[in-house]
Amino acid sequence: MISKAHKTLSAVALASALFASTTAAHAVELTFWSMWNEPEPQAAALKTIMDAYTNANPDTTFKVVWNGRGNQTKLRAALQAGTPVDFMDQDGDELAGGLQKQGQALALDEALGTDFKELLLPGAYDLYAKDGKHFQVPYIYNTVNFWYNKDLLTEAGATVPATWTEFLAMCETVKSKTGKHALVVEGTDAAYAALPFSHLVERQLGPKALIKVFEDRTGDSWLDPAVLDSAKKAVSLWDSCIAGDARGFQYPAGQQTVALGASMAELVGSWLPTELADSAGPDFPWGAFNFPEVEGGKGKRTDLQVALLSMVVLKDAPHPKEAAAFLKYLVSEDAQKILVEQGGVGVTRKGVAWPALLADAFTAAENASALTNIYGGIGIDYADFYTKTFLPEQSNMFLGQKSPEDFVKLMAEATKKYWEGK
Amino acid sequence: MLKAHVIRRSWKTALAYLIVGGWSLFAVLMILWIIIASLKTTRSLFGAPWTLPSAPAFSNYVKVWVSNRFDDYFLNSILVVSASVLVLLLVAVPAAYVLSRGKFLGRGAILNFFIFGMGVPVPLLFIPLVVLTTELGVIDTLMGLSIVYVSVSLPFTIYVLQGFFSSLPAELESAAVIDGCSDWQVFWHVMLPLAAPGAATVAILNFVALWNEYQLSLILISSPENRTLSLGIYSLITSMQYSGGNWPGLFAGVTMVMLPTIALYIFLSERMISGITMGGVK
Repeated sequence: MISKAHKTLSAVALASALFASTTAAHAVELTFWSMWNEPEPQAAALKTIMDAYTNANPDTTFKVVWNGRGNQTKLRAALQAGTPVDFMDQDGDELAGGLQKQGQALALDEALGTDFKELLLPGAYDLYAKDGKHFQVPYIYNTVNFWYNKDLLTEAGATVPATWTEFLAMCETVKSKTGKHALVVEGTDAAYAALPFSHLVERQLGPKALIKVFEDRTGDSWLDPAVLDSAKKAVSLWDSCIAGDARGFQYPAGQQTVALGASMAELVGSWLPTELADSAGPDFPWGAFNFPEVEGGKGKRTDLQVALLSMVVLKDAPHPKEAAAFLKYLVSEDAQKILVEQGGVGVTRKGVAWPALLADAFTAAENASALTNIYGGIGIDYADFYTKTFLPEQSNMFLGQKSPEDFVKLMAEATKKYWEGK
Repeated sequence: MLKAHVIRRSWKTALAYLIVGGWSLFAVLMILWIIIASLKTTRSLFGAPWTLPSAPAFSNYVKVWVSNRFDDYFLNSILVVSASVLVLLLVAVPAAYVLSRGKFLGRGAILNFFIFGMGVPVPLLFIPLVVLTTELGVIDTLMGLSIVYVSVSLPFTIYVLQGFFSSLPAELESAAVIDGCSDWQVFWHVMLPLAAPGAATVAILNFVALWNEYQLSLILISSPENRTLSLGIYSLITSMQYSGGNWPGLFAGVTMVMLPTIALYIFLSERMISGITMGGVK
């Protein structure tokens, strides 16, 4: 009797041990290093998503390090020291010129399958692909548009412009009818100041034109009349669209003038309504319209500059398959809705509507005919030239310290010299 | 002739007062503006930047202190900086004394080695420090950060204190030796008390420098619970993109960082100035 009970207990114990060891063998703790700070709404949304994932997959748990925006910098140092990390997130452009370029990101094509790109908004999955391979899963979507005060546009009796000529006419109308300038810029921010010129080049010569101009090793593409015309058009914004004192505006002085109703619009990313939420208030009549077409140009009004935020799985991740499976879940309809509702952001999944504040940007993303990286994309592969030459010289030209003619000549020579040194 | 000299001297004094007074006034006004800005709403901060807040928004401080975890960061900064300065003095004061008074082979070389350390740019140390602290198992810990702070502060501290000890009269040491003091007793009972103003000076200078230090903590600390105040400020600034610009909250955070060093200077400035003017850094 005792022996039988003993045997039964032993069998139960063995079964329990086997079950426990099987469970332990499948239990995975994914280490995630994040670009968000813990108190941010985006972090709260990601926490909810990870909790939901763990509920559905009890064997997978998460260890998160909320690093904030310096995430990639910290991660590089940690990887050097051998710290194991499964996946991380950052601005897609920064990743493309960083971990991805340095070969530290895992290609995800096999894990995600060939149909994956159909799940995302047009062009989003391919934006950071290299040689046909995909290393990033974009999960948050930022468009670049003119973000404007709808009431001011209505007060001026103007409409959203479709062409450059209409755009300049809108500036005149707003100025004469409301006494306010249609546009504002952060004059001392060289990157923001590059947005009009980079858009104009793309509207004249087509998507990703700026990077193509730079990649002409002779430098002669800068001397293309369309490039010079783009530079002249950018400078002409100061004639009737932008107030002269904006030349000295230090971020966030320019955008605050939109929130305070002193100017109508700014060409900037779709994060603007969130950034200005406190000063603009909840009832601010936000609208967004795309950069207009230039008559006779190859670029379309529906072409977009974007700044996507992406996840990557590290090449030396301890659990690459499990991490990739989670990223697949991150762009599922359920997870993306959580990001919209809790995080207040635009997302990459097709058919998941963005917050009401960003409705115009969502329409722009849904109808995008081509995507280009924000500021024209030179900064990704040619960061040195971008920061030391293009941005400061473009800024000098835009602010009137150098003529458009001198600017294109200088860029042609600098580009040629750059490639000769390679 | 004498009158012209007096007038010229008066003009020079007046000019000096004007420059120093103007500079001081500017600094005080900026500090006051930051404190006032920290009590406004974002809209009033940008809409009327030079006015007083109609109703002080102390909630900015509460939000930063609680939601942005500045309570933890403040405690971390106090712990790391106090411990670092204490250990620094424990190591640097005896070392500087020996390098100043001792006569042994290689003394000059060791002193030059420390002086050379002052010229090494901190960014060059990033990767070696990350590897080293990882191997020691102290990366992403406050203890690891303290060890690094002590290490990188040693050259400057030893250099200053060595100069300070050198300025003290040798006769005092000789008298103590004649009275029968051992080397340790000479250091502990005679030279250390005389060096107290110098030690206080380097303690204050290091405290302020480490309190505001940012680069090393950014590289060595990753866990949010181990962040120091300077990293807290950094996270406030960077989270403005994508998550909303809480500018008054930022100024509340800056005030929290600024006030301890200002208080330290107010209470200990006389001692610090006397230390500098007495010692070898005058």
